[in-house]
Amino acid sequence: MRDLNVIAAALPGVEMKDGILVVSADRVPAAVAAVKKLGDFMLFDITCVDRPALAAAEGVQASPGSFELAWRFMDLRENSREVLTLKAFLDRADPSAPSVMDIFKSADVLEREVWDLMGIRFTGREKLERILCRDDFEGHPLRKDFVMPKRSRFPEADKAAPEGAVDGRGVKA
Amino acid sequence: MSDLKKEAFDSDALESDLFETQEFVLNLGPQHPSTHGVYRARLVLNGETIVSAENKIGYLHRGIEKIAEGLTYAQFAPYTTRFDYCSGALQPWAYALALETLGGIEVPERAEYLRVIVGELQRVASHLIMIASFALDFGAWTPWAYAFNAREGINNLLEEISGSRMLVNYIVYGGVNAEVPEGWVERAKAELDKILYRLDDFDKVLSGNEIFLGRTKGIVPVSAEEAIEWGFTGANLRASGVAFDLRKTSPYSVYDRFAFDMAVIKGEGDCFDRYWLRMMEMRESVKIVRQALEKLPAGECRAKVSKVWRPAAGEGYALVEAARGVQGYQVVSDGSTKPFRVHMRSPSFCHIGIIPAKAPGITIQDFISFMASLDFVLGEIDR
Repeated sequence: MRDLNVIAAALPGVEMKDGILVVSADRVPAAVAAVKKLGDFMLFDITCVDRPALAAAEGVQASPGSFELAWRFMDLRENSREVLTLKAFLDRADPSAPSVMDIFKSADVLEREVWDLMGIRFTGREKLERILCRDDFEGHPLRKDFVMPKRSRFPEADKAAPEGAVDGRGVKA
Repeated sequence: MSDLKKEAFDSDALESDLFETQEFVLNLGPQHPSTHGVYRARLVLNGETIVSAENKIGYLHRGIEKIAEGLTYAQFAPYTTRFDYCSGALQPWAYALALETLGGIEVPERAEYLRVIVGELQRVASHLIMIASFALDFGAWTPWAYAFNAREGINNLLEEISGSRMLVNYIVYGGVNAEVPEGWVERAKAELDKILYRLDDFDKVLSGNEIFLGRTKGIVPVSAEEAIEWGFTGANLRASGVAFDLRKTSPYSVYDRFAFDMAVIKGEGDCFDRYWLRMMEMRESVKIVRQALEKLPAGECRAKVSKVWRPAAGEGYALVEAARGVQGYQVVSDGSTKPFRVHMRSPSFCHIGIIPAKAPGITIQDFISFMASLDFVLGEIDR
């Protein structure tokens, strides 16, 4: 990756904290557009961590927001394994961030994944649909407060078997 | 011939009022051999031409990232091989690297060499599957048999070191799982010659085949700008003319010690280029394995790490050049024995993003070529 200080200076609304670039959610598109302007950067990953439980753990600084959303860029020019990471901390009440799909098209599937699994709403894009879970799935499974459903995904199969029914082994239910 | 008949045979007339057509929806997949897994494309068709396409994925979603939160670091390693099941041995590498960044573990030199050997062998096996299924989609059976014959040898080698043929859990944090058995290095060297022999066979039956060229040359080109825009990595990116390969541009492990060329094609970026690039890359991989087997140093094959391991709280993010592109792992630790969050950056997931943009205007047969040339694996898309 090129010099982080030079990059940080070129991005509007970006602060550098302990070698991490932090931006407020509403200024993300401007910052991402500035990254693109630097040239030879590829948006290749968007990651999200549900933070509150971690903030309580020993040794980790408490973060102002609940969700830590990170846009990760690969430098195609030099030292590509050092990833340029742009982080935003989102409020738990309404976790949302503006979409960057217009700037990097790869954001399309990546944003849908984060919405599906973490429930971060990306605004300003056409449609934000689930991508991995089925359409009628409730909740966002990678959130720490997600309760694992005890029942199977076919509730009708869980209902009591009708009178006199036998299962596959010939045993009466 | 009457004017009316002449008009009927004229292909342009098909678009005219003479033949009124109606758009219809075709679900290609999820159970279809040419979707290479449980992938479904919802196509809106006008005749044989695609009007619009939509990806429907998630049939193989097992929630592995969620499963990781309930397992220890060592227990999760075998799960990583279930992501891209066509290149199982390469999968735990990025995970191991992320853990090593997190915990500051030094990997012994011999382990690094063994990782490179196993990784490159697996890359060849993975590309062989791509070529086999790519050819099979056009009805060419012979390359399929050749490819699986060559792959068999690699699978045997992997079985000897790890006990499994496809979901090879050999690379672990701190090094590799076990020492290679006696005589393995010689057997591996002999296998390389067989692979090269088979690669020449592909050139004889496939690379110059007129039907094959007709179905792949100039079909769905992806330009360099498009490839970067859509987050392409790996062979698909290099086939579009971008010289980018982590093994060469910013080497990890011991890749900087081997003489090999980065395979890159400065051309159209069509389906044939994506095929040909993998052919080039396999030959380069064979070169790397041969040098690594020659230079393989003696010593330990795993650093001293405990099975139940508590890294300090923090985050590790690591990238490797896997068979399908750049694979990344984000591992967040809260200081306990289990990872707080594991995220896998999947190359195929980004590759299929381009499908809805590229599909309109092409025919179904070209769509099949395009899908096969992208070489995606549903295991790592759906996770």
